[in-house]
Amino acid sequence: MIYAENIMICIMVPFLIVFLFVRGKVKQFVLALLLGMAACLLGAYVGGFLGTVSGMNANDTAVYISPMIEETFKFFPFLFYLFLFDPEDDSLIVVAMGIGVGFASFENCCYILSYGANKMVYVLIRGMAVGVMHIVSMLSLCFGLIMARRLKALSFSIVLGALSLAMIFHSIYNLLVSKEGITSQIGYALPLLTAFVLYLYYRRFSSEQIAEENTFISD
Amino acid sequence: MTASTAEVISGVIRLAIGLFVTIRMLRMPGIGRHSANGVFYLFALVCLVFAECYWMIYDLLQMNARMPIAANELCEGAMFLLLAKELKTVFPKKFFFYKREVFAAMLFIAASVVLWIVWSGEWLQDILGGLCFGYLMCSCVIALKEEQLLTRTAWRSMLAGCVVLIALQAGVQLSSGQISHGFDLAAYLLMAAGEALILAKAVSLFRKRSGYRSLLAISFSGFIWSTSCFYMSSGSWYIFHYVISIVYIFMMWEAVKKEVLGA
Repeated sequence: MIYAENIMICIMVPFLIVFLFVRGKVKQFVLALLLGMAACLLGAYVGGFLGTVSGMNANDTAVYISPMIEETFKFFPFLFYLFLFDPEDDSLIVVAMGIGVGFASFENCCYILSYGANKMVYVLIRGMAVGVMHIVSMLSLCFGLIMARRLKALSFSIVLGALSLAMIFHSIYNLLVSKEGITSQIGYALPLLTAFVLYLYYRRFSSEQIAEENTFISD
Repeated sequence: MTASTAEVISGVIRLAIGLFVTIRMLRMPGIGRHSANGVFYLFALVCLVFAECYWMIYDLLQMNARMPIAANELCEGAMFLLLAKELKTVFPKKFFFYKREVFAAMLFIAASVVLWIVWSGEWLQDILGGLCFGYLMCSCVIALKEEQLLTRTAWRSMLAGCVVLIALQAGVQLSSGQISHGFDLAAYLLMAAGEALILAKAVSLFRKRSGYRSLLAISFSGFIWSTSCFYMSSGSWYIFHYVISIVYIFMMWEAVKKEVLGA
């Protein structure tokens, strides 16, 4: 048994102090990181409650309920930021990454405090698979919504579609790692592979954006 | 070949075709360049691919276990809403323009949802899925009316067919033994007849090289009908309707392509 709220306070306080002294995108990132941690804690409360109410065991809760709850809680601050402030694409990416990093870091802290950090393989899996997965799901969701916004197709169905895609990606990961053997190894590799694909997309997206800006300036 | 093997093979085919069409859509010149045309269909395809992928992995790892509410059902619901949105970009008329037809479609969906719940006992996912499915069905009804693809007699026959189908499915649930089997067989034959008629109409429209609006209306309607049929079927009938739905994925792609390219 760990006291997640106490751990969160311990991690959050330095970031809150940093938040007072930074500006611009760094400030956005720090705030998103804090919101990601809060989303993780709230998601754990609600996921645990629903798991108990539905009578599922821990494994089934992780496979079926956790992905839906966690992705929804990560999505809310992002959606709020997107629709209320209508920010630029770069700011959206910063916020999405901040929420993903905050969520993954806090979850990793809690797991490592619960199960120990004496096994290097376990720590690597936590960092390179689960940690990356939360960032990848947020980034893919963010890219999907940016694309829809650019095409003036941002609507309820697109938002729901993007959220459900993030959920299903998380579910596929949890499903794959729920069984020992080759499937779990594929599962552990999945976030890193997806991160690589997203990186390629991001590079192309950035170069297209620069080209568009240059065209605009020359016009 | 057993029914479960055939189910896996048809699932792999649907996944491969979904992936193929998604990649072709992404490479299509003009998609998203000037308008949102085709974007909703593209997102719907991605949802379909992921939902199918999840099903395959689930089947592989948790064989014979009944799946509780999971992300793939939300993904399927989102897919129906995205397909409806794609239709709405071309047929933006509100539901109240065709009150009678939309009301009949709503009744059919409500009855179907009740039957799904009776069959599976999973009320939450059946209601949520039914709402999204119903929205797409109402959008298809509007598209069919707008394009006047069905005559008055055809609409009446379709209404009668749906009423009989619901009655037969209710009969399957309420009876047992040989009587239930008889109802079941009659329902399967009725669904297959509906499938054949819609497919024949779709093929004839595609062969006549009709405009993209007609092609969108018929292919989306065919897809929703085949999906509705495989939701109500099992065994080889399930595979039959499932395979037909794959054909409609291609037809929808052709129609969307025509819309995007402005042909």
